[in-house]
Amino acid sequence: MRQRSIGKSLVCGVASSLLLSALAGCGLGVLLSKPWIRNANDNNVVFFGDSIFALSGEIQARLHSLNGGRTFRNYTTSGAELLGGAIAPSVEQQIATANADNPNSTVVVMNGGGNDILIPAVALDPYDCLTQWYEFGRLSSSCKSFIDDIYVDGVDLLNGLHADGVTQVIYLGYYYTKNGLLLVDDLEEAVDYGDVRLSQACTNSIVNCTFIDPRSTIRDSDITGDGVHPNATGSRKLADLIWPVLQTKL
Amino acid sequence: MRRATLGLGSLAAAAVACAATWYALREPPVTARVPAPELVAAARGGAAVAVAPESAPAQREGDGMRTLEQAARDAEAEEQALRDAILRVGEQEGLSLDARLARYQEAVEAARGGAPRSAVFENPSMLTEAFLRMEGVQRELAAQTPAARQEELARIRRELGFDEEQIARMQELDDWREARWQNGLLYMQERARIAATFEGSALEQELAHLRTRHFANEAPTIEREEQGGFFRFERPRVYGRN
Repeated sequence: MRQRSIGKSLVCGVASSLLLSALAGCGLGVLLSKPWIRNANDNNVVFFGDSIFALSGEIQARLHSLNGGRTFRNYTTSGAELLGGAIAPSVEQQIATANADNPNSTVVVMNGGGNDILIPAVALDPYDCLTQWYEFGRLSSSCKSFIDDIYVDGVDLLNGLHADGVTQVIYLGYYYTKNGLLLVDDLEEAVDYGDVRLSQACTNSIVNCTFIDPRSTIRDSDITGDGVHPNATGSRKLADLIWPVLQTKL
Repeated sequence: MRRATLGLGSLAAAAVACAATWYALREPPVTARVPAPELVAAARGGAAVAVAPESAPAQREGDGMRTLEQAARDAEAEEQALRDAILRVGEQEGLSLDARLARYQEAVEAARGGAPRSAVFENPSMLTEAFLRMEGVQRELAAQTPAARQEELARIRRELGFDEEQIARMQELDDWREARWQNGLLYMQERARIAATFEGSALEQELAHLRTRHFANEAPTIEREEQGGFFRFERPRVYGRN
């Protein structure tokens, strides 16, 4: 499973480019996201984040169903980074757009930070975030520094939400990716460190924030063949992690 | 109707994926994926000489077919060479920022041409951040005046694919971060002075006042970070990124 080098380049070509287009935007990002819901049945709840939510839309669909068919606002976009993304609207930009549409939502369900780590790791791994089998358990200091910057972006973003009048945030963390069209099985240590830092962003922020850790819930069989995104069972599991928390805030 | 369209789209994407996977597996990627000699040379720290034959896999006698494992190892080595060539741009001594950016762009272009996951190389923010995090780049940016640095960051972003609207937005973010850093560095100086002067509950009280003075309603965040041993203003400064 950790033999990244052997299998790394066996599956690639147009297929992975297509997927990366979804992850990175590249013009297709918007096409590969479910449409935003700018005006919902329940406008008090709004979703921000990346393709974990946006690509299939199944997490939201399940949550809408659990909410008796009433929809929530949704600005999640494939390829979104936390701040400043050049191709897909970043989480920060999604928040700005949502506030311009309607500044009165007080409950946010979100994720973010995954693309910030995943895209460079897949391309060049300039921060050494992939850990080979012989590096088991040891994440490089350069990757930790890189993720620390993402943590600061995250906690500042959450504090910004508080300043905007948001009172409750549910932050969905990341699960372990697997080797598929993208060979991202070697991100386990980065996912571990990233989830620790994102959960700290949640607890260290001044907004009331609940972090949902999906690592023990999502198995390889819950991930699509791209190695990254949740399939139908994965989306259902994620929605079922979110719903008990969200339900108390409605 | 929309569901049907999406279903067909998914099927088409899956078909493309399958075809591409089949194609990638069936085609011996020897000639198509040989990296530029100068990049391999650069990755090895040597002169630009054609080295592709040396790195070619052992071929079985008769049919000339390579094993999939050998193909994977070769592709991995090739990608590593491209990656190293890009990252080495940041370590080269005596390069001006202009020259470093030009070499970086050349290396990225070469990697873009040779890499199967080339869509990633179309991501300006990823490319820009990787460049900005290079030690040589930060050294030069740190030595510039704020105004010159601002111009330089705009030029780097423009060259690496940001449009003018995005550059303006990033500049706002830079300005906001710069103000945070200046405030934070001042806070750290005063914090050090207080820590050397007070102790016990008096120290805690002084620090609480100091944090409130510098960070207002965000003071609890800074306090919790410090309790966890994280001092955000002791991170390495990365101009254009943090």
